[in-house]
Amino acid sequence: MFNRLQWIIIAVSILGLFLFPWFLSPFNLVLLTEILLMGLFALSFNLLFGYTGLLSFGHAAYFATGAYVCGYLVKHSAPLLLGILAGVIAAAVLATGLGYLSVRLDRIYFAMLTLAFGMMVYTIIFQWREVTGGSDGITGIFVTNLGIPGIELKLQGFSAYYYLSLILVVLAIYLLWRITHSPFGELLQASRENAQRLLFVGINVRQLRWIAFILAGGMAGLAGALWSPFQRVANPEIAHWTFSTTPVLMTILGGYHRFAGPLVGATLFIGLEHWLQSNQGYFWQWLAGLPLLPDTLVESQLNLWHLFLGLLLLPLILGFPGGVLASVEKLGKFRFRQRSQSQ
Amino acid sequence: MVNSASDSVLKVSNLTKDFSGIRAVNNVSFELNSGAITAVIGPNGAGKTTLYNLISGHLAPTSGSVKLENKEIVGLTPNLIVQAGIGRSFQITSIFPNLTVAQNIRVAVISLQRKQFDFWTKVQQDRSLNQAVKDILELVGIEALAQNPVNLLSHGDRSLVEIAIILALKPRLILLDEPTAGMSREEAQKIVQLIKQLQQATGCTFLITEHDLEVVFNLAESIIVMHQGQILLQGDCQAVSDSPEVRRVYLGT
Repeated sequence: MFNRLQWIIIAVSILGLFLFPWFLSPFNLVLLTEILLMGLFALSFNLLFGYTGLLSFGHAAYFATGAYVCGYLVKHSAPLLLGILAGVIAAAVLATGLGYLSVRLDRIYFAMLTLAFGMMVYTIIFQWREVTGGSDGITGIFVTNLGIPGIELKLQGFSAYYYLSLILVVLAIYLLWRITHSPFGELLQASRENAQRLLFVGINVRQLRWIAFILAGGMAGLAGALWSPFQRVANPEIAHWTFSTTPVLMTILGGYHRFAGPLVGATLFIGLEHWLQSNQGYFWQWLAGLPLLPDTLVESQLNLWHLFLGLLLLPLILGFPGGVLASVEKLGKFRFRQRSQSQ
Repeated sequence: MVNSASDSVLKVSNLTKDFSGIRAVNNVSFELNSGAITAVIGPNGAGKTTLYNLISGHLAPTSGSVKLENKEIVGLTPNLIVQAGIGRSFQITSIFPNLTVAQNIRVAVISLQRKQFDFWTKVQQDRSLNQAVKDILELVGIEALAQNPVNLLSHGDRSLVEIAIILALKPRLILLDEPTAGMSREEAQKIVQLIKQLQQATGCTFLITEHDLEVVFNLAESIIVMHQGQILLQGDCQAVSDSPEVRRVYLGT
């Protein structure tokens, strides 16, 4: 299944991830947790996009459902694991209902339908003030206990929460990996390639897509359920459609034809984002040297790191067609071939 | 033609399809005998492809019935009709372009072995799946192509993959829509030989539409001539080539 190099990369990464808390500063550990959770979110999105060929623009709805349900329960002193479980189930149940309707269409119609459903969920979260806190969201989510008797963790600390996230995310990724490499996963790819042919091979394509939608929703719910206790807040922005574009960007950046593509994309994206946020002063200096820019804009030094992020993402996406991971792999194979030819 | 009830695989009775006022298929009735190769011929617009779409469940008939081994299949969804035992090809070759030849066939085998809800087995390590794929690759003679992505194959080889996908479903009846369309003479000959060979090897019943009359006379034991949605004539090759009416509508002489 894997070649030796891939096994080594996987083993080293997992080992490294478990050892990181000894080396990294709390800030970097927070960053790493964010990468893990957003990576899982992007992977769950790619089950629909890369494998099934369905572009969802409303995937944030399931992330937010997980985040709000878990956040609400934990805030009302439920054990964390119970909150996570409830968050996953709530997201999966929502995906069962909305997915049933969404998979009746495909291509751009599917994208628009998921976008509309996503905004419905956003509106509900924004308006249902008694439960969700409206525009403020649910704040002050502090984990008091894990939910396993006998195990007490200082979950307020970053490293304990990091380990919990790491274990659950690695398990979820393994689950997704098995699903995508199972007979079911092969049929998903076939439905992406030619849904009509698959129907005439005897497969109920709509049911297949529906199940994929529920699985993707549940996984996004897990990422969200881990997100709100980590951020200690569940705010309505994570339900907004603009948040749904994050996994889209990450996945395209990393490469949607590879299982690990969204993970690579999430790492790059979040890494760039934080690097820009802390270093945007340099960019402003550089911009100030450009002749055509109005002085007032440069002097204001607005918080425009998104602009720079866009400027950096553009060459990355244009320069690595098929995603960074696929391009790196291709480069590696090319080098290898050159070397074996010269010998 | 001998027609004993027990030998009939497919029985089409009074099948009619209207498209907003146009009667594309008009009161068509015929039976297919087990293990025979039957060809449907007729000029463009005669209703051949519509007939296929009605049998395979792609379209719902306005009226009439289709029975596969005495079981009514009108009203079933296409995937259930496949599961009942009818496999079909399309006029424009229909495959899974970015998957390999072996994967294309494996998709069909997964369907046949009802493993669509297996979320856990590693598909490359499933023995019974991959053995069945190997058998089909050998039967069609495309073992050498197994690991090639199908979008890199020639048109002729793609048609072989499509036939392999259908065979992997182990159907009792195979509907082929213009299997030699757009092929060179050699490629067409290869397909004709393959179909004859497969009929011998599997005992499947074949229904074939075809423009090339040479292919038809070479292959079919029985021919159905359609014209303007109706069956003009059904008989063996001799009867069809001798019929002045067929010459008039089909050959234009």
